Amino acid sequence: MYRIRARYEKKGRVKYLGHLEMIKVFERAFRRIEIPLKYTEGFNPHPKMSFALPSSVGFSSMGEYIDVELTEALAIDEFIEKINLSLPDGLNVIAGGYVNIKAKSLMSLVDYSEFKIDFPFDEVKNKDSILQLGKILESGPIPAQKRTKSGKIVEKNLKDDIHDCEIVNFENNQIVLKVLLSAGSRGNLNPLFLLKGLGEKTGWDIDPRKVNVFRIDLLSNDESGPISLEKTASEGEIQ
Amino acid sequence: MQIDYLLKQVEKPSRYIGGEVNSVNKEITGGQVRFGFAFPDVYEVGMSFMGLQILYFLLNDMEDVYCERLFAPWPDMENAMKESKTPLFTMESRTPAGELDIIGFTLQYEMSYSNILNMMDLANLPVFAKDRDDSHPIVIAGGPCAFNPEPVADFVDIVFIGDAEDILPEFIKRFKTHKAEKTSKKDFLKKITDIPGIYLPSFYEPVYKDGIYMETKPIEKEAPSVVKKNMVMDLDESYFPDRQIMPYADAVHDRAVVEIFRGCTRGCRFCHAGMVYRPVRERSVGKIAEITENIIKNTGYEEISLASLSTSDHSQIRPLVEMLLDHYEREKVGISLPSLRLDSFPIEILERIQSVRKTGLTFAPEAGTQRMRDVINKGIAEKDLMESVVNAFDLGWDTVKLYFMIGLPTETKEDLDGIYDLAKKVVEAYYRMPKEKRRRKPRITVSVSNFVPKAFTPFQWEGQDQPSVFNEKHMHLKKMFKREKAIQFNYHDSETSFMESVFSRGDRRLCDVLHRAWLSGCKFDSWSDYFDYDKWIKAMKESGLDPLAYANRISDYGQALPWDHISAGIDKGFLESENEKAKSGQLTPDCRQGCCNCGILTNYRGACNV
Repeated sequence: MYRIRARYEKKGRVKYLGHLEMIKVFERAFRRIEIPLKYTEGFNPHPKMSFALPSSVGFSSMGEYIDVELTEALAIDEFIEKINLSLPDGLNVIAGGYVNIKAKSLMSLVDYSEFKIDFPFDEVKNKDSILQLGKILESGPIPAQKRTKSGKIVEKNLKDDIHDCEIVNFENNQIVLKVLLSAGSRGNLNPLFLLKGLGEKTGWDIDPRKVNVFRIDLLSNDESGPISLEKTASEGEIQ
Repeated sequence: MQIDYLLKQVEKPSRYIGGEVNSVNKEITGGQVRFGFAFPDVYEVGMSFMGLQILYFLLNDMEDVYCERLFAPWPDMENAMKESKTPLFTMESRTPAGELDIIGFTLQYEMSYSNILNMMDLANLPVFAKDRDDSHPIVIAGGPCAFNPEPVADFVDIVFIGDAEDILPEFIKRFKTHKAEKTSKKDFLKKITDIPGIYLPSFYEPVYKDGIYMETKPIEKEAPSVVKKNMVMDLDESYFPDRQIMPYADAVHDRAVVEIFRGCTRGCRFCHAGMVYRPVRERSVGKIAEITENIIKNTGYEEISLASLSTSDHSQIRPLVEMLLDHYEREKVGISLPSLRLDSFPIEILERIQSVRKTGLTFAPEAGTQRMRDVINKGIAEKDLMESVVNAFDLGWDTVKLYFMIGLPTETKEDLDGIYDLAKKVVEAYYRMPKEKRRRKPRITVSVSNFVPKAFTPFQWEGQDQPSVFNEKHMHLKKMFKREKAIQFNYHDSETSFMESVFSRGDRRLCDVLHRAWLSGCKFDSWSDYFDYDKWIKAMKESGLDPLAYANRISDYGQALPWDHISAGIDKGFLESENEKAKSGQLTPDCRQGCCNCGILTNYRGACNV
């Protein structure tokens, strides 16, 4: 048995696909290229695939990951070339490699998500707060209310989940932020939720319909610090 | 960017994105015929429709045609579009629908008609055909409901009656000439009356006397007095795509489909499709195999559906299914046989099908007693049904769906109770199995729909139950089924069925009703959350029409019917005699057991090879 880990991007129209749709898209794309897929047992067999924390509907990304299991190995280059011809426009595998069949699941590796966020921004009105963003972020908590799965409302300090936040660009009434946020099962902060909290704290008026979110990558905590999930796949080598 | 802004505020954005695998992306050039295939319902319903896939690829395979798709935006999207003044746009190139040359609506069910008006309006088009000039797209319509086109006659320019695959290329050719020569719409219409199956509503005028429909007469010399349906004679020669668009957004049916035959030999007396799509035309096993192979290769689907009106009736069904199983078992491609008559299907093949992918089982006895089944000519005996059910349970099934219809002509309380009795017998059959064979409780679903009399069926002269009567019947059944833990009982909304009945046998006066209802906000009427009965009744009243006169009317054979100027190829006399036979519970055998002289043989020479 073999497991391939692939990093892919989603951009354009397909960024609006929900996760269940994405699963189907990949399943059928794999079937079309007729590679030796490993199937689940049971009444409705499916190819064995798993994803790493898929980014939300509407986000574009170059940091999505999928693992797929095969019964026979094939060259990674060949795999990437074939699958990219098969996937719909906007989905592209950009890197991949084999991982040990018993390696930790993709999902359990996720600790951080790095995003680029841009939205329209009133330069004149928000001139002071933008210059002071660093200070604002440091001064006290960024409170937010979050509803848990059981329906309880809990107070959160968003700052616990912000590991980096910088202004990349700011011109023509458009602002670009780059943020590193907690992600995965040990803590997760959605960038739109961050903007809501940030908006309340700074007084910025942000229309969520005009926000573009781009995920740069997913990262995992390693002894040396956060590393890209891509590094967890040993390129080209069949294990 | 504009569309991104819309998509970020709607519930299911993937309904509107397009770009699916196998969808067609063409460079837009001036000389192209720009065609919009319009399904007047939401994306996930429209994308489940096989006819869309056929016509979409048929048109796009023509070099100088670009066919794109249009669906009804869900109300959240509609509001966002209106707020931002975004007109209805195509899925593929996001072209405003008003810039297309032709928009073709498919008429699959009556309760989608208000969406047709709504879509035209969202495209900034006048809804009435007479208000659209040469600068607007030509609006055409087709599909099963087109056999009675009168309730939409004022809104569309051209109606295609019957099959369209073999005449569309000719139609497109004539349209291209029209576009190049810049002839007027009216002149163009005059030049296409010789194409089989083309009905031009504006060339006819209905006549009423004292509020009673008398006839529809031609008012242009080019218009034939009766428009005969067009028919594809040989399915093997007829176009069928080798790929399918792979829908997003959780389409109702998301699987490979190959049509194995058109028409039906059974002659159920309530069934519209079974009458208007006569005669049976089979696709050969070789052709089906070829199509299947291509579609599976080009889609990656894990399931192939063999579509038809009664799939087990294909003369080669057994070798066909065995061949497909042999070929696809290893690739884990499942086979689904919709509208299967289990009483006539070898259970050991079903077992093999289930070993690849397990699905539920569906039986459609349609009525609860033998007497009632004889009236509707559903030649199925309880003994055969029970035998199939017992076999299925024995093979490990525990989920069975049973479909029934209520409000059928001559129905009595015994017939209603018979539905309950039959369902109960199915449950009992399960519990008669030895305990070790029963893994869990059986799951039996009983779905009851309301009889809607349809044009071109033997029951076209029959009245429908009033909504209050349907409600009583539902309550009666509901009460009985309440005590059965293993049975899930579902039924259809009475008022929706009532309006469906009004429109299925409606005349041209209903255009005004439709227009008023739409103006008052009616849309998505087949969705219970949106259907607004009071608005429809109000619209009928304002038009001065009595809905009961349409839905509940029992007419005599001599009375003119609003679809008499359309021919489905079957003789009215045949329908009449079938209705008479129904009254005495007399059966008409399957066409394969002997010709019942429906008229197809004489009206379409060489078409019927049963």
